[in-house]
Amino acid sequence: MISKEEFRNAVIQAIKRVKDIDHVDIANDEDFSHVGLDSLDAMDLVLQVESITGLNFGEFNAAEARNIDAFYVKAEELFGDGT
Amino acid sequence: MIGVKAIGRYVAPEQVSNLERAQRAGKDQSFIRDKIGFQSLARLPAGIETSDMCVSAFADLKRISKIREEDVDCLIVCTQNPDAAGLPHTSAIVHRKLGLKHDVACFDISLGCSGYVYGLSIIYSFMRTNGMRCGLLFTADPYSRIIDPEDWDTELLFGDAATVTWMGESPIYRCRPAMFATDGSLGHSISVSQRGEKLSMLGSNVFKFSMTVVPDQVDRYLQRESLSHDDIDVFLFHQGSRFIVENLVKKMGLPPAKAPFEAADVGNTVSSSLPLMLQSRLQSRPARVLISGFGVGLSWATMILDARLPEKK
Repeated sequence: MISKEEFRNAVIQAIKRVKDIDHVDIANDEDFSHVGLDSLDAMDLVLQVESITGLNFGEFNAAEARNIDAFYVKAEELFGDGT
Repeated sequence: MIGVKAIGRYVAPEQVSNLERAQRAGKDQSFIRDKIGFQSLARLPAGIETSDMCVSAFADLKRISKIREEDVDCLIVCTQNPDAAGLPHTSAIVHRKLGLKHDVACFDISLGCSGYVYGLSIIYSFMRTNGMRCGLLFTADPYSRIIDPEDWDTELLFGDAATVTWMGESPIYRCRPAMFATDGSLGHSISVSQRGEKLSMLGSNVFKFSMTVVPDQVDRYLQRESLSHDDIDVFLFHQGSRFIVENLVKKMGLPPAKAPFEAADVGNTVSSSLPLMLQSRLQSRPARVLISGFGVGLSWATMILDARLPEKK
């Protein structure tokens, strides 16, 4: 399973892609809306994280990934063994 | 050779402003304008049937072209919201309302946002096989009938419109062979579970599907046709939302002007979104127009309409 730190780095990189920005400052428990992501951007964020990590979240409702912590919990649920 | 000669349209006359009801929907106006993209939606008045929309689109076609009812020998309606319960088929009802002769083949096809590409391929093949010279392909899907007005995930998206494409000889555009695909395992992503129920849509599924399969199909299709992005003058993508169209453009590295979003005042009109955009190109006639429809099914299909394609014997 990808480590929390690696996952966090992937999410930060994904946010930069989605928002087309160079710098992102966000805590793990901070809602993605604080860096300007809306409900549609959240869908793109999941796709970008998939592209960066190689993980496939399948039919995942992006609204469930409100922050890095919640997103990682979902990743652990799906890929907790053998990734 | 048979191809696209002209397109008539009917856009429902009532307008619902999404900007005015943004607050009620819990959205910012900027989100509606810049992300969803549909500032207002065309809505069908009560009492107007799908066949009536088709008849109105045909009236527009008559106004702008030399189509004659007596020449029609094939009529196809693409809809998933037929008159009544779909029995008789809506194409037969349109046949009656247009007062066409008996020697006309009429049938419906049930497809959503990929329907126009399928429809063009079907009518082209059907007419060629059976030696027909004058065909009408209608698209008409009044989704407002199946939307739950309290479901803002769908209520802000869909508009009502119909088109009719006149297929015949000496066309403006010829149809290259299309490419089709389906993933029935994701069919529940856009569905009406039972007759009389309302539409449900899983937005994350639809977005992911759109961003993955469409660029892949377009690239494979262009490769098959020995063409590149630069050989296409305009890419017309199904207008699912501004967000989807603009992200496709970004993902595929296309110049935004070559793949426009043009449904801000109409909404997502399902199988009518592509012919509505194509109609406005029939005057300027860009040489190669790639059309790509994707949605309900999940289904996706791509075709190039080519003004330069040499005639096949």
